[in-house]
Amino acid sequence: MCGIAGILSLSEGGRPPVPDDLIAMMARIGHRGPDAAGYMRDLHAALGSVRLSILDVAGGDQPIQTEDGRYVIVFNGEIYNYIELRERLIEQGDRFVTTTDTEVVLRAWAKWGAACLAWLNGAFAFAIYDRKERSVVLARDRYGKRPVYYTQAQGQLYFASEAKGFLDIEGVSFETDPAHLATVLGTWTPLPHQSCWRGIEILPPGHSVAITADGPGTPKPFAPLRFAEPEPTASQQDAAARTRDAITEATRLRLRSDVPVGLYLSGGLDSSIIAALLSDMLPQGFRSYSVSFEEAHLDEAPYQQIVAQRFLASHTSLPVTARDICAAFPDAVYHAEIPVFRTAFVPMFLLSRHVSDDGTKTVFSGEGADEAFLGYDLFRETYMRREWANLDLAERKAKVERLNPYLGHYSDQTHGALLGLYENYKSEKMPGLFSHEIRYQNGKFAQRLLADPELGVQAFESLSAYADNDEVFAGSDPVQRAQWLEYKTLLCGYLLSTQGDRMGMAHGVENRCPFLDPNVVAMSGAVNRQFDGIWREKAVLKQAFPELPDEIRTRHKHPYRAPDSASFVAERPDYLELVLSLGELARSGLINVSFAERLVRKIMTSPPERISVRENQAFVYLLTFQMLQEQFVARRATPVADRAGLDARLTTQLDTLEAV
Amino acid sequence: MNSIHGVIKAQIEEEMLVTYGEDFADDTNLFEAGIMDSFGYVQLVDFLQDTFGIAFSDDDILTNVLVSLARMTEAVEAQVQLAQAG
Repeated sequence: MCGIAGILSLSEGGRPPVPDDLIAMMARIGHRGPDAAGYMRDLHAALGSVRLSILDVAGGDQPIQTEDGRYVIVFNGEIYNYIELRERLIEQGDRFVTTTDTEVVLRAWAKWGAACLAWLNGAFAFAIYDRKERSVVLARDRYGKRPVYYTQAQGQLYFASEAKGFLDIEGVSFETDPAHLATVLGTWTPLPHQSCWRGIEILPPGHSVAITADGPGTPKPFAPLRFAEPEPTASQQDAAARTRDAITEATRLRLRSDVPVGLYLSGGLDSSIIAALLSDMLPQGFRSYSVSFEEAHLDEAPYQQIVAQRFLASHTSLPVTARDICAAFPDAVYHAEIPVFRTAFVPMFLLSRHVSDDGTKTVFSGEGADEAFLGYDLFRETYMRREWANLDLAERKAKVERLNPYLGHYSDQTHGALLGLYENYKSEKMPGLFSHEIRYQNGKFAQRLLADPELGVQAFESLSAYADNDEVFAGSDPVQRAQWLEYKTLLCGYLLSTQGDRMGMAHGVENRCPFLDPNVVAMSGAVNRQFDGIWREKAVLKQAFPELPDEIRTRHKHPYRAPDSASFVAERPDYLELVLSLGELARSGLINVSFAERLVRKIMTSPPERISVRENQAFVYLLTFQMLQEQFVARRATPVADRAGLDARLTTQLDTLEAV
Repeated sequence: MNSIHGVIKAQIEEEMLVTYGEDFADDTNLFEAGIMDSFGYVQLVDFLQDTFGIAFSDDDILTNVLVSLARMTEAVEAQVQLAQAG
């Protein structure tokens, strides 16, 4: 795991890359690679890496180049099947200098070109510079675990693992892209190709882009999201056995590390499954980590303890208070780089610091299981709404009763009002987006923060068009469409990024997700809804892991959440002025000041039980947006990049002004 | 403007941060306009029942979906009249 950055001169005869620009970018993303740093430079390009050493700790410094000097790579991530690919390359005559996965990717690219991308099972973003062609290719893993951004200024193409890499590049200005902002407010996340910053591109998951002296081409997909056809399985038992095999193998592959691995233990089913497997595979034991909250309805510590004890994990739980969230909030938002709808990423920022202090660089997590194995109630709700008209009153009540038990207003025994809610959502009103209409209608509330209401309308039209353009989406049933939207929005746009990669890498901690192994995702498609009628949550998974404690197997899915606006109201941090001051609210020109003022007043003066989820969300959006304006646009509260720290660990320098 | 209409309007404006007559009309579908979510809806139905001393049946809820100020006013007026007649 690492951070990458680079520069390619775009115009013929243009000036060579400026080393200081590269160093500035590397320093800005230095948190991603605290162990080593290196760069190469010639007349046309410069590539830099900050490294978190996981494989071949001693010999794996970057950049790495082929013997002939033609290809140079900087790599961020892990390729879990690198040993198998390495063997294939050796069979075909390649000779390796290191035992890293980075060198495997370099040689695979040199030998097979873009065809190799689909064979990579891993979490990655990398850049390979072809000195002969004077071109760079950027590629990113299929689900979006690792990021890479690029932009142009002063006749140069710049790329970096995080957008903040460009903060100190002359000619790159940070301005919020209003269309991207409207998408975030409406749907919780940007679309996969939206960075939230005007003129800064993010490479979508599962894509590569070729960049030549003429500039970047159009990103091309190498691993489109597909849903496997259901496979004939003799029984649920058979399906469970095959599912167990796939997850076991995915976990085994992800144990390939030269440093100890840990586990984020949420107290839910998915991370408990990984705990069960790690306890089998690691006889010496393993460390697990979690957060706990004072608020009983958010806290899952009792379940975490049960799992840790059952599977003999050495467990630590980090208590997180409202005060902790307020104190860490500015730093966490800086790392997130985009407006966010809830505060749950902040405890993950604190947890990764704790994990790093504990000497652990790599943690497993259960991320991806809910998307693959239909863990969210959204999927059951979609199914219910689809058949709503054909259900009698008793059936409707019985189904509504099984949804969202963790939400207070779903606990009413009669469910009378909820019947009215679903009656209003029984047919599609937003083209293609049936499954997510309730969420997106609520998103219109947050979009009222926009000074220009038309942007909100356009955001949903863009999402409809984006989905409609995908032939897999077009050919899918409503539940699969819901999955597709989850993979394309919440998973890559928040869970793996804001709450995942950015918070972990803020402290040099990388996560590994067995449920995002392509073989596991394919297996889920083959067994989903074959045996459980969708209503028995993750029935196949539960059968596959009978050793899990009953308390975990019988739990309803409990979404991970953290204290929201109440934290800020109670603590009144100084930066609240960003949303309390009308002058601050007006500064960007993008915010409807009068609505924002009413929202903030309600949040600040109402008891927490009178604040709805979406009001909380709108408030957190507003506060994060305002803080990003401060840090990235006005540059009044921008954290300082650790340039001295980078210089101290700069080990690899291939500085040649000779072109090949 | 009758009192039932006025009371419901005031409640919606206060709870949902809207001002009728500016951006929204009496017959605006509050779900589709992003004004009302499930939480707000459940709270509002409770409010109507408590404030006006009425009880919506499941059929009332399902056949007269309470999506706009106009339809809520109608439904409450009908219930109140029924109660008075009874």
